[in-house]
Amino acid sequence: MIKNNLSVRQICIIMCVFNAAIKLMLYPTTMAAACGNSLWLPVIADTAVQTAFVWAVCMLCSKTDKTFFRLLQDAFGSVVARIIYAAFALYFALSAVVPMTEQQAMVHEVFYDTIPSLLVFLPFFFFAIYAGSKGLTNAGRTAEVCLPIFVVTAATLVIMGMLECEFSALLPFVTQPPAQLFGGCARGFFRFNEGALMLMFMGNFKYKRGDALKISLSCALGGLIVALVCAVFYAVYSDLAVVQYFAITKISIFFSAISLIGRTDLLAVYALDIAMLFAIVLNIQMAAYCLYKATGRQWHPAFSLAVNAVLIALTFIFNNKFALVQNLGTSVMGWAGLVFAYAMPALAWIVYAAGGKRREKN
Amino acid sequence: MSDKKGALKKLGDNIEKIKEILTSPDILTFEFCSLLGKKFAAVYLDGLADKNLLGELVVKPLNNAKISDDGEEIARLLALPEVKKGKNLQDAVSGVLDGNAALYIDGSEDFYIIGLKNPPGRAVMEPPTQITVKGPREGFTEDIKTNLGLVRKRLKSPKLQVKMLSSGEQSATAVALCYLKGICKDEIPEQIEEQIKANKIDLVPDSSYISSFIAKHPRSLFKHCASCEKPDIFCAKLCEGRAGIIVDGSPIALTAPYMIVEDFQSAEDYYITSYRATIIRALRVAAVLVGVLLPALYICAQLFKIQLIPVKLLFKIASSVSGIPFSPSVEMFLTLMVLEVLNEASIRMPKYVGLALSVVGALVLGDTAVKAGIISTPAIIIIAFSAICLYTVPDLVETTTTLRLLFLIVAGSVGLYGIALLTAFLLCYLASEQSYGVPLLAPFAPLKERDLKDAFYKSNLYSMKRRPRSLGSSNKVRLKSDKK
Repeated sequence: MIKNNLSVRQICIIMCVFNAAIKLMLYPTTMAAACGNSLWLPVIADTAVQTAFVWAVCMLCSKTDKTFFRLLQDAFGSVVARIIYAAFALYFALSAVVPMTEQQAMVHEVFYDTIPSLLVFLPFFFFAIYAGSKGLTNAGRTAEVCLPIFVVTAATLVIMGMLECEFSALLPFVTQPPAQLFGGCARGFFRFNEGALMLMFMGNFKYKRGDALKISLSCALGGLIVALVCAVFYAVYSDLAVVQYFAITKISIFFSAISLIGRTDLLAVYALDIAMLFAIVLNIQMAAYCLYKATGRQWHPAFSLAVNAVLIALTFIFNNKFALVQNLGTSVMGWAGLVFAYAMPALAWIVYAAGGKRREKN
Repeated sequence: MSDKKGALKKLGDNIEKIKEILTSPDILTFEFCSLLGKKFAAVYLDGLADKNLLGELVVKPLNNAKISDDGEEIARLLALPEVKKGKNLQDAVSGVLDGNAALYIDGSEDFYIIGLKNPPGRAVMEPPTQITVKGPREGFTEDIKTNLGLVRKRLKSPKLQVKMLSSGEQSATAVALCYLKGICKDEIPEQIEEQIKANKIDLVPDSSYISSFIAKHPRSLFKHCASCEKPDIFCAKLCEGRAGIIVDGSPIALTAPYMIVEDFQSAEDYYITSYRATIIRALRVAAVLVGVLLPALYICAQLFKIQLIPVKLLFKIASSVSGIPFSPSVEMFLTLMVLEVLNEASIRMPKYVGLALSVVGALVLGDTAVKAGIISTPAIIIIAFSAICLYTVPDLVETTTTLRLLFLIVAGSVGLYGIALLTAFLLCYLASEQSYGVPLLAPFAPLKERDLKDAFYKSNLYSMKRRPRSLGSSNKVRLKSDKK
């Protein structure tokens, strides 16, 4: 029997670790390209916005123990709720495409000396199908397993980078024009979906007083970790940061104990990749969960299979089209992100408030 | 077999009836009579029942007694603690097969089952798989009664419940389900009992069969109940809120629910300082990770990411592997196979061939293969080190050796990304597995901070005043003390 209940601690870890892990692949390089030495600033701004939305959903959780599906069902009926959840399923499935292609590119660059064939990446889907069929409780538990892996590996890499970096490269602060900074903010704002995740967790955990603060702070902490990595990354590479893809794999390269040949620090990167894998698969797990809600049937591995079938097809379609995926990710998926990660939490509040007025009338 | 009126009045008829069922020639009948000519017959299984006891404590008193027909008087004359009146033929048959004697009296419907069971067995000694430098050295034996005695010796508590079950249609193996009432969750022994009863099999020769019966997923690569050979560990686990199973004929006792972290704990951790225990535990975790992953990582480094190897080491490896006719993965696989064959042979071979085997294995196979340029030195070092590492956690060896092979195959085919994926897959699998409601990865997932004190680090005794939360015991406190 698959369970979908989570503990507050698990949600906190997901918000902190998984959201940070997924952002550590290409995001720092993108931010360096967009904002130069102020790259950490948009990261913090984005984190603030996303944390605000997470907090808003948490506050809603403090008012009701219903799931978002139940709220929609009560307000608009079962059919509308199912349609919205089907759309969420599609959104989460497509949200996995950009990090998946980033992961694929990272694998090609960091895991192999020569570029391997697409087949090497395909076993990812065995894992994704399996993990996707396990429900949200499993996602929460894997997050707890990933916490020490993430903390140890990320800390090792960042410390190794910090010992050889030049923080003066980050000075002077905020020299970029506002438009450039807003552009950087928009990239993160449109792409990441903490609000949507929190909306799906709603009703699947028991809210207690103070949980909103814990969850929001965890989300903020995840963002701060990313900002720190961005800062260290820029301090290591300075203006060359824009051409250094997959920042986390490169910030420790100049650590005096390792030479160019003999990069034992990569072992930490490989271990960190486990957390990244779970972070990517979380989108697939969420898509399978939404599909399960949308169909109203019993939980079945077929939901995960269906989501992964779509992703496998997209992987073949977008093979070697990394730039195209990145563009689609920020343009088309950006608008989808605006709807699902920001408009939907607002809708949840509206639905709840309207329901409250109805309750008062009755 | 008629159950209602199994025992007949005439002695000859009674013996004939039981002999119809127990036809084997090692079922012996000893007929004797008292001073007043009252006839008796003792039916027993040769080899299992104690003939000396039968002669001294049953035959002799009855021979010398002047007894009438009263069955109660006969029972009083027997100077044995274990005498019970049999109800029907079924009782007599199972009593005899259990190693006891059935005493029939001529002219009486009554018969007695006399506890004369004395199966051949070994003495209580230190178990070979759980040796400790400090701490108790007693180990379980194959005799269930001795084992229960060893447990009772340590747990003189009225809370200790021992439920006797039987498993195996033909073997009728005795299984003792032990737990501490009020400390172990009630559902756990109930579920275990249900699982044992639900399985009908001919023979239960060892506790490993019961282990399969009580596992929720018997095909899983990971076990679902822990095993131990020492009564002190067994009792400690009962006190934590687990249920224990002792099987007649097996020196390995089982405990459930099981958490993977248990295998990293050794008995000695609790008898030495917590600092030392923590270091050793960390070492065990590292050793298992190295043992499972090192051969796979070595292959990957050679095949897919040479950058991983430090430059000086790389030159050494390059000089060693030059001229080796196999690819790194085939070479490693072959070396591993040689190790497994040697391991298997050294267990099965008679002890006196052992020395020859070591010489052949280490010198002829290892040294000559390296000199001949068939296998490289690093491959042998890595496999040997991996084997040693895995034996730091002997209870997990079955699983870890299989995992090592799996990682080796994945490393040779997919490379480093395969290793990351397989690790993630295993973590995901383990996170969803449970043993009697307790997740295998507890106390890490779901995280129970308090239980971490006895997980990969070992806190001192005064920091562990409560029983593990993961086991959900209603009686939470195990140590009351003002010390902190």
